Amino acid sequence: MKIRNQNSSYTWQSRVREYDVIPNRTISTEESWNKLRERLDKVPQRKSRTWYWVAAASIVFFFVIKLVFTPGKDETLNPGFTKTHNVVKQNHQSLVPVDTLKTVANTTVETSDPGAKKPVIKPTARLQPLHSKKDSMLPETGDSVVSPAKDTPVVEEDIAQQPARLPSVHINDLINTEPLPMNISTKSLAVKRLIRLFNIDFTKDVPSKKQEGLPKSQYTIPNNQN
Amino acid sequence: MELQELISEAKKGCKAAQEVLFSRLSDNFLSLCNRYVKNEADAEERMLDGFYKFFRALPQFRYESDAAVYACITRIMVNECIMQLRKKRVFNIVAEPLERDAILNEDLLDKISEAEIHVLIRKLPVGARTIFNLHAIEGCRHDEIARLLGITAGASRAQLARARALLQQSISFLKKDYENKESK
Repeated sequence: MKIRNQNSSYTWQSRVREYDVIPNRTISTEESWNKLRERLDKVPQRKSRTWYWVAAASIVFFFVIKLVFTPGKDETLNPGFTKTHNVVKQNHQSLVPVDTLKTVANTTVETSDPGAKKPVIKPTARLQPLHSKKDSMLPETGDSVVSPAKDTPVVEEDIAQQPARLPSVHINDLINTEPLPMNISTKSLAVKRLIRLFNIDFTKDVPSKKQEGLPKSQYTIPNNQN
Repeated sequence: MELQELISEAKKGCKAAQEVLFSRLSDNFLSLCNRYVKNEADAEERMLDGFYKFFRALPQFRYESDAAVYACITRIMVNECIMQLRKKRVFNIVAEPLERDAILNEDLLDKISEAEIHVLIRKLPVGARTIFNLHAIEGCRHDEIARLLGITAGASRAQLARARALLQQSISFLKKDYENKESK
């Protein structure tokens, strides 16, 4: 009696693979083919990916809105312009009276097109110092810090027409008719601006810590009487 | 009509060639699916799924030989059957200690018909039956079977040994029946 190698699968393969008849087959070949034919004739529907496009469009729309409505640094007051500031030499020992200041030439400000280059605004007048250089606390500075490019048009700014930054003043300060004390070092910045506004002259003024913190670039409000 | 001509015509979209091809191969692969899936209705569904995938991929199919065509379709059918068995989660096979492999009696095996062999295989438990089909008939290695079924190679060997032991037991019962018939 021959004993086949237990790992050999030749007998099983040869005997089983030749077997292709299932006894008592309940389903005929034609019926199976009809079922298969129906499945093959159906066109496979592609999954709709509409919501992909809707999500992508909403994201793009969000970014576009954010870019359009986000204001730039220089566009808070006057959109479309780039400003150059003249550093005004300030003398902290005495205030500069408005009468001695030269008025700025009336010029028109042109609005820039979105596609055109931004015009550089340059004030025509320069504030002249009241005292000599020795008395000045701050170092002198030249013209505008930012020199405009050659191609950019220079437009003289009309300070009178521009809306100036008005200081925030309390109504009590306006109503108050008492003479102001000579020493205004302890007064607030708003009061000092009021003093300048009403052409109040003081011969003595003690420099205070707050005055040192004053911004260097200040546009003085022109005197309407002049 | 040879198989190569049928396939070339079926690739062009000829429905008659596809029908002839199906009628020629369906019985063989239905019996294959029946060895894996016991229920005849499920076996037919798996066969139809396999042929559906084959006909869908037919435009990209390149004929090399008849054996290659049979091997390709066999692989598709086996995968379909195993996918259904995995969905039913029948492969909860625990690694059993390896039994001593049963020694097959060649003389007795030659006396058994193909239909009886088919019945004996279908009577095996689902795990042992699947692994016996994959290893002994399809020729897969234990590591391939383990990767295909999500089990370990040791569990595959144990289930194969169990299948052989059960088959040997069934064959011994058949041997007694044959001897009784011959004595009469």
